Amino acid sequence: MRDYPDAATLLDFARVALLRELAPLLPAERQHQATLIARAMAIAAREAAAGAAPLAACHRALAELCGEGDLDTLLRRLADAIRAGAYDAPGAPRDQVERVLWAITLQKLSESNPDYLAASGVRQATQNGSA
Amino acid sequence: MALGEATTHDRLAQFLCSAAGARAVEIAEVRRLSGGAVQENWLVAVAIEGGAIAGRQKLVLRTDAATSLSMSRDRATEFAVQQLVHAGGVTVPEPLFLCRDAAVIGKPFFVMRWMPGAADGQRIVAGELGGTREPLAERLAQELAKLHKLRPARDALAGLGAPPADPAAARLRPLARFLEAHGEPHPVAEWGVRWLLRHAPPPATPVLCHGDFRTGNYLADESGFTALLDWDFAGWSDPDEDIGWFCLGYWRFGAYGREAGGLVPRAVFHRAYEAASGRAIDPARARYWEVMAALRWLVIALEQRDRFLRGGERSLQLLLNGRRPAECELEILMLTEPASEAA
Repeated sequence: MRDYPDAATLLDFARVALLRELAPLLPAERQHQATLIARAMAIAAREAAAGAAPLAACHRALAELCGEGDLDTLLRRLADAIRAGAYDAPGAPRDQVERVLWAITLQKLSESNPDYLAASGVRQATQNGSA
Repeated sequence: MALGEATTHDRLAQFLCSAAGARAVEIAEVRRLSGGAVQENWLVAVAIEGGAIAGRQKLVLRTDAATSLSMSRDRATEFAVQQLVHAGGVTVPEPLFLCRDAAVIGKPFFVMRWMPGAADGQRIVAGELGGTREPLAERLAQELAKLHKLRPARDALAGLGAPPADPAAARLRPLARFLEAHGEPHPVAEWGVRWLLRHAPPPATPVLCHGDFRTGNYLADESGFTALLDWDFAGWSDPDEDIGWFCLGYWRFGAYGREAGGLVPRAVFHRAYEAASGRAIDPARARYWEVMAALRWLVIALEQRDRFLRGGERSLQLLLNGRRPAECELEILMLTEPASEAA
C-alpha cells in the first residue's frame, strides 16, 4: 500500500521547486551543486516512473542469448564471453549480441541521460531498424 | 596544516620568499578556485619585495585533491612537463616554483602564474566565452600541433617513463585489466576492448601528448583562448589520441553535433590541425582513438564513482559519474558499427 503521490511525482515536483525557487537564491559557486542534485533527482524520477518493465525487457533479451539466470549472472556471462573473443567473428551470433548490447545501452541512457540520447540522433536510427 | 589557515600561509610565504630569492613576501589572499576533482587550484595573491618576480603577483598554487586517480601524474612530473611545453612555445601558465616538501602545506605543490579567463565548458560551448567558436577551435588545433611537434629529451621528462613501443596497446592494456578485475560486468566496454584489439593501427612513434586535451581544460576569455591547463595526464603517446579525446561526446557539453569539443565539426578541427602540423589525419586512426577515448572515460567514470562507493569520498559529483558509462557505451556502439566504419 502506498498513498498518492507516487515517487516519480514527488521527485519531479521537488526537483522543479529546487531549480525554480531555491537555486536562484544560491551564490554562484553553489549553483553547480543544485544542478547536480536536480540531475540525481531526475534520474531517480525516471526510474521510478518506468518501474520494473525496462529491466525485465533487458533480462528477456539476455536470457535469449545466455540462457537461464538472474540479470547479473547473465550480464557476467555475456561480458566473459565477449572478453574471451566468442563474438569476434562476423556472423549471426555477433549480430545478435550487438542487438542486445544496443538494447541495454538505450534502456540505460533513456533513464540516465535521455537528452544525450536524443542529441545523438540514435533513437531515430534504431527505430528505422539500422541497429 | 591546510591552506586557509594562517600558520600554513606563513610557511607558504617563507617558501615563496626563498624560491623567488625575494626579501619579503606578503600574502594578500588565498582562495580555492572552482573545478578540479583530481587537483586543487588555489589563487594566491602576493606582494613580493625583490627577487625574480618582484611586485604584486597573482599566482596559482596547484596541489593534489584528497584522493587521486591511478592514471594521474605527481606534481613534480606535471611541473616538469609544464616547464618544458612553456619553453617550447605552447601557451600555458608559466610554471614558477615546485615544492616537494610536504611540511609547507601538507602535500607537494607547484606555483604558476595566474592567467585570465575561465575553463567553463558550458559557457564556452554556448558561445558566451572564448569568442567565435571556429577561430577558437583553430587556435586549439595550432596549440596541439605545436605540442606534438616538440621533441623533448627523454631524460628531461623521466617521470613520464619510457615511451611505449605501441601506444595503443599500452593504453588499452590497463583499461582491459581494470574491467576484468572490477567485479561488475561491463559487456559493452568489453565489446569495445575486443574491437580495439581487432582494429589496432600500426604503432605510431610516440610524441609528448597532453592526455586530457578537451573543452574544460583550457582557459578562454571574451575574445578567445588564453591558456592550456591541466597537464597531469601528459605522457608519451600517439598524437591522434589527443585528437580523439577532444572529440569525445561528453566534452561537447551538449553541443553533440559539433564533435570537436562542442566547437566545430570533427572534419573542421582535423583540417585545422593538419594545416598547423603538416601531418595528415587518417580517419580510421582518428576513429580508433575516439573508441579508445570512450572506453577510457568509461573507466575513469567508474573509478570516480568507486571513490564514493568504495573509497568513502562523499561527493555527489563523483557518485553521479556512475551514470556516465552509459554515454560512453553509446559512443562505443555507434563508432564500432560496421556501417559507420565504412563511412
